[in-house]
Amino acid sequence: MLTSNNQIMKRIYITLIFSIFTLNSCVNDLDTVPIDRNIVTTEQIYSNPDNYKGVLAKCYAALSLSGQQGPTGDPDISNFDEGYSSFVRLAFYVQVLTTDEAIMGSQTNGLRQMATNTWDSNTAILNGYYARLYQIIGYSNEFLRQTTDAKLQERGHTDAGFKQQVSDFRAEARFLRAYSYWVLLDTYGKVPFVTDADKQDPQFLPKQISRTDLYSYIENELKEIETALPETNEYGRVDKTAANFLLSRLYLNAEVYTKNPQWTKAAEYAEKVIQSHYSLSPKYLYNFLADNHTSREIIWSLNLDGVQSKTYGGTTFFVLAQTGGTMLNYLKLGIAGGWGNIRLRPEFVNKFQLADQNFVTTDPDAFAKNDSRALFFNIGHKKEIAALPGTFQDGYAFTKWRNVTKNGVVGSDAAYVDTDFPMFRLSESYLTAAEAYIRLGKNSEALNYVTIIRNRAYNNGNGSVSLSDMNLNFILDERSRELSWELLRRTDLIRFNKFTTADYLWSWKGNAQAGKAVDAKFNIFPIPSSDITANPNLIQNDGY
Amino acid sequence: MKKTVISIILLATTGLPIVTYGKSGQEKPIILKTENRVSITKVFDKLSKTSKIPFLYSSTDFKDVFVEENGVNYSSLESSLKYLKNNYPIQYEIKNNTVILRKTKLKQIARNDDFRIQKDTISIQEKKIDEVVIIGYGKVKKSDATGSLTTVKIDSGNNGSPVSAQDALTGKAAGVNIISPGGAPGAGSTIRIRGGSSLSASNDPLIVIDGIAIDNSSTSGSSNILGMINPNDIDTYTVLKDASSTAIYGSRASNGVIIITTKKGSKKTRFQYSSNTKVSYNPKMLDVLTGDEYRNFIKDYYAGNNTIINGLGTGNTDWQKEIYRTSVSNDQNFSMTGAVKDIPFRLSLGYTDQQGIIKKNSYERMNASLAVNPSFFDKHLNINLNYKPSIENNNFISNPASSAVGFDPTRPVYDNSSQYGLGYFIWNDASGKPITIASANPVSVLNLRKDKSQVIRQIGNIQLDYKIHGFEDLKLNLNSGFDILKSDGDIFVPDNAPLAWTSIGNDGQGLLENYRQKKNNYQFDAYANYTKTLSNHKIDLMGGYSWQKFWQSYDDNQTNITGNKVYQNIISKSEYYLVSFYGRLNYTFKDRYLFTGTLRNDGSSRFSKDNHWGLFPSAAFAWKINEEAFLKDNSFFSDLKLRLSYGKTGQQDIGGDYEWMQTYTFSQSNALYQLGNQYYQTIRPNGYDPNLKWETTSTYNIGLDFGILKNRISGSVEVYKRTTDDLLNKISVAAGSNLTNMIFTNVGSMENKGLEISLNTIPVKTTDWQWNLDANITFNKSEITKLTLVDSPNYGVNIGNVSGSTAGTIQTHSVGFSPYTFYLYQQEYDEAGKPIEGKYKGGLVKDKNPMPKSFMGISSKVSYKNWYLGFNGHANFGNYVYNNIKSKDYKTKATLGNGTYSNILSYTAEQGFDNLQLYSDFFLEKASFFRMDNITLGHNFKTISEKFDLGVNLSVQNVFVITKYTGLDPEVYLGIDNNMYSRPRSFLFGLNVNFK
Repeated sequence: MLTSNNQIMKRIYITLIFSIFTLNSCVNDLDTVPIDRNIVTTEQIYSNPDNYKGVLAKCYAALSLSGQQGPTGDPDISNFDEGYSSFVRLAFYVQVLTTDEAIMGSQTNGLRQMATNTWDSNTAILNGYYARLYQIIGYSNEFLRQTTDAKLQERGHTDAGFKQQVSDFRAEARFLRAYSYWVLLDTYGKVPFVTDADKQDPQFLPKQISRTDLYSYIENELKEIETALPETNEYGRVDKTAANFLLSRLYLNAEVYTKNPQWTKAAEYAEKVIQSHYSLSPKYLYNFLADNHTSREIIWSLNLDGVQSKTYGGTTFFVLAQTGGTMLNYLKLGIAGGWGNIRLRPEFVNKFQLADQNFVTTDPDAFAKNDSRALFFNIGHKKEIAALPGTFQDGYAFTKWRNVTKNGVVGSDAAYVDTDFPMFRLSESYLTAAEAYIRLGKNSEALNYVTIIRNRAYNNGNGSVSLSDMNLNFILDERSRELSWELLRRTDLIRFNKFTTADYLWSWKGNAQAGKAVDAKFNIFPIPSSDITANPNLIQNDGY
Repeated sequence: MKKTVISIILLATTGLPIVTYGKSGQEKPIILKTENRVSITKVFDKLSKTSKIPFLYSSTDFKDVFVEENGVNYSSLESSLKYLKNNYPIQYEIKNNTVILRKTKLKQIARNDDFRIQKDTISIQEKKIDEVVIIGYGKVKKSDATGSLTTVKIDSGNNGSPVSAQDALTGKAAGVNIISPGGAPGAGSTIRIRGGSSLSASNDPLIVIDGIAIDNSSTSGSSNILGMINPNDIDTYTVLKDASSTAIYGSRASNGVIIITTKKGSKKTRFQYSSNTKVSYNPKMLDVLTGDEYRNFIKDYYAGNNTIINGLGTGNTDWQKEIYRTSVSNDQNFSMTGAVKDIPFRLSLGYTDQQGIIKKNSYERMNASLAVNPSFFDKHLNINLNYKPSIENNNFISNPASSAVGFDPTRPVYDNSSQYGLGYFIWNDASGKPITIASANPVSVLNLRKDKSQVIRQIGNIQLDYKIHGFEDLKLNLNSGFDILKSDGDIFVPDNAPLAWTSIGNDGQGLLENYRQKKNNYQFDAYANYTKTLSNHKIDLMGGYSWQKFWQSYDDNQTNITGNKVYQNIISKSEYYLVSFYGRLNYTFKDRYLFTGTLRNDGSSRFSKDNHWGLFPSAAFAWKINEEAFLKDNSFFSDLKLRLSYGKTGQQDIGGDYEWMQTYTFSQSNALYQLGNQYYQTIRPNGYDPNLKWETTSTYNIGLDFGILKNRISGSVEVYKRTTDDLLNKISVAAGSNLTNMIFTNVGSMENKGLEISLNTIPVKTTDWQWNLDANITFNKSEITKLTLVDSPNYGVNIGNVSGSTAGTIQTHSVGFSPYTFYLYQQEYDEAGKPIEGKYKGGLVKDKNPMPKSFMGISSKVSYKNWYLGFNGHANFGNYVYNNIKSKDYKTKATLGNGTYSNILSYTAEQGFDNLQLYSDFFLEKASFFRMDNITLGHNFKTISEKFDLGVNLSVQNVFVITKYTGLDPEVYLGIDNNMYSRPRSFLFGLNVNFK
């Protein structure tokens, strides 16, 4: 009895064992797809027409935000502090901190090297800037690859309206790519070149393009884009005028890029912008406030919001970095506190009349000053920067960037700023045209445009200048007064051959308190060593 | 029933009968039972336990023999045996380090029918009994092991009462470096076996509990991967180090394997209770200026600057004193074994309440462990069922150690004069509004910020081991298990708390955060095992299949208190699978030449279809030299074995589950982009590498095991070299070739070389005295040998974030250097040897690294009769630590220009720099150390009651540290000393009761 019972039990168990054996043969389990609703495959994205604008939005957002979670948490760029990795913040360090317009004490990520013109191919800021630009290029290329007519056809998107929309999107993606290549042309010169014609392949090693070839590519590309872009577009999206604007910038600096000046073309395209549907805002300051989306002067803005688009870059960086010490006791900047680290160098302050250099407690918006662009704060501050790092009080503070509206309403968040960043502003075109005309000997045309800008800046009409003022030094200073901290200063100084030479010295240029000339190699940045090691096709810029 | 049972108490500490076999013979019972006598088997049992020598006897023979226990001296085996022999009808013989006992009458009858003790099952050495050690998918006699493995048994008398499973291992095994993260209760230590073979991928070893490979990714709301395992439930740890032993785990074994087996059930009914109470305090605080000293410093340093001097406070607050406390913790454990309807089981319940030495910080753990181990059909089918549920309650803190050091000592803790800060002192500016870039009052952060979590984890498995009827050489083994975890955390900061002004929204609005993590991991394993012995040849063949699924989700919602402002809302989910086939052949010739070959084919869903699979082979050879004729009769060597092995293991643990495929990520609700009047979720194409594949590590290992003078001295020496190729490395991609700047790809190689020596000695052994002294030392050197496509001496991956400035790094991964090599400026010194501020020789220099050149562990136990005194210590040599506490401190930091003040170290006030010199190698210090982990004094009361034994012990944890390092503690994983939670010094009183 016992035995037979045992036998039955035994069989049951053995059957059980073998049935379990055969249950779980799940080799196919290895072919997984993401299960997170926020992470999806390429096919899933492009099969739904609603997603296309989101991908394009990322191409735009890559210039101001730093990742998919605000303010930080899911960065676009790795191995680099996410807060720093916003394009405009990096551009500030590259285009402004390296010049007479700003200084700071920090040493992090090579900031001191940037501030004292002593960078090298390992400087983290330069590495991050380069990486960010290629990221925008990468996003744009990928969008262009995925949205060709053939691809739309393949995915069954035949609706004519949708196809037209995608066609606009594509022109915008090309514009963002062209803009990025223009920045690379301006900063690093000869760089690796990759477009949507190349396959997306991690093993692909892009070839280096010469500076002149890159110039031609951007010029042709922008001309094509100009015809493809609409006359006007939604807020935050570029239109025809943006392409013309960038072309005028390209031509203005053509001599630096190709040794062939293009002053006539620079003037021609600046004129196109001036003649467009944009118009100057009644007050200079309105372009830098939380409601600057209402300014008709801004041709292309990076859109930010203290709640919905949080970042440590963007205008949050500008407002917080410029604010410190006791400033908030005197000024309504719309934030609860700042970082108190970036100040002005005395040479920039001195571009304004002495009377305009002081902060007037009763006139925090500088509307009553001669020049309403003299937005300084100097209570308790010294103008000179005696030592580095120094304190926030060594150097005047800037108050140009604010998180309040024209009517004094503070932004939506006390720590993150609503103000949009003006990438292209109409007033630059006036000064671009003016400079081109001066260079072409057409001083009266130049004076005409300079006067428009000066009249807006000077509330009391005292800003008028005469024909005799129409010289290159004047126009360079006027550009600085008008476009301070708007990511142009380094490019301008190079065009006037003052960036590295002894022609113009500013405090701490070349890491000397009084300033000194530096090697001409610093007119161009080194290709980051990380890319030199990752891509054997690349040859380093001279001198690095 | 014809059979009687002879029990061999193998490995007496467990007290479990492991091997039984029958013997014929029937005896007339001798009745000797009188008052005050105990069963002789109980005496054998206890003697075996105290002497750690197995006893072999027939329980049937002795079942009616009762003895006077008073005559037995448990600390002396020899005298006890003599006493028993003289007074009772027994005879004994010590053979193969086993005490063989026979009843004298039986001896006469069965003189020629001697016990046949099969060498295979019991070849036992003194102390280090020839254990059956657990290896991957099976077990093997230690003497037959071909690979490099270390078994660690926790001596309950000399373990320093660890709270976590990792800590029990500290210093116990050569090649295993365990670095605790500091003194936070419940925090898990980092385990590194032979350095770590990966760079960007995980360097954690694989941990297998009762055959289930557990998920060792971090969990939100829990600071310890192994936190849920009660160390009291652990029977043994087996650390597998060389590829021969680890390759059977293939893809996950590159960084070694730790196999944990938990205690099993037993038919004997036993109850055990242990408890300990611990008092802990912070042994060392940083020397900062007092309020008065600080005022004097400011008055001197800023002489003439009245704004600054007049802004000073009048208080004298010792902020460090305000955050630390003396804490009392306790730990209770109860376990029982027994049988229900002949099915043996073990049940244990544990409760731990650990209070941190920083106020409010605590960790509570409740866990149960149930093991049921029935056998059926004449032990043809053995079933092991384990179920371990646990609940962990954490009271986290945001470590205020660093902010307490820097907070202005002239300010009070509480201040009701401001409408901000809820009664705590808060920095206000001239307008009376909070300064948002100031640091928050550390006491307010401790008291007002609530950060709690509860983690419920259940680990369980059922293992069936079936010996086929009629074909007993073949065994089938099935193991199915799960590891399910749920973590639920809440963080709360009230409106107007200082922290609400200095972080969160910087606007006084508080924080309400709830995060939840779920992990559901399943494993299924099946293997068959065939063994056959044919004269001189012995074959042991195993083959199997394994399937694992890892699934997890994470939600995090952060809002202001009213909930109308969302700071963050994350919902994420992810999963991956591993499927494997594996096999092993052990071939033994003449019982002294041992060969092992293993092969594992692993598939991971973390790679593309073309790269799913990786093949990981290994081979090993061992030669038992002492079994050779020329050594067999040698009395000097009791053990001598040479081992050679080579093998490959893999790595796929890169964190992300979909790194190989092109994916797009939607942005969160706070990273939208406005186009027109609408905010759009942006959709980002992510970087990826479709060619991603396994990282492979090849290991060569030579080992020599020896035992001399009857194993009074035993140990092993191992030399190894590990080369990792196709490093899963996060490196810069060629700009333009991908959608991000760095991706995980297979580039680079690194090498680890090392030597390990372990020694177990018994320097003294007399009737009353015994001294065991064990030590191990490991020398290891790691070097990155390739990192990028194009070799460049200049390229380095910058890592090692340093505090004191945003986002600076001070370490680098660079070719020709150890990982995490420091990358700093070389300080210049004046003639007096004082550093010259801001003067450096040239540029950044790669030099020195935080990894110890060698590390050692030592443990000792002296016992005298029923007393014992033990200690455990460990040491690191040649490691460097960057003293970030000191480097981020400089004189001008005392006032930051924003109206706030900050305390500085006394050192800084006297001889520190004026300005921040974060990148000076002046702050890089040699940090070799020896730490006395614990000293324990105990006494076992063996005779106070018939019903139970009682043991008591007193111990001190973290007794002292010998080092030249000038910071608080030289033991810093990865070498950047900053804001560490001090390791407490603790006094423990422990009690354990074994009911008979």
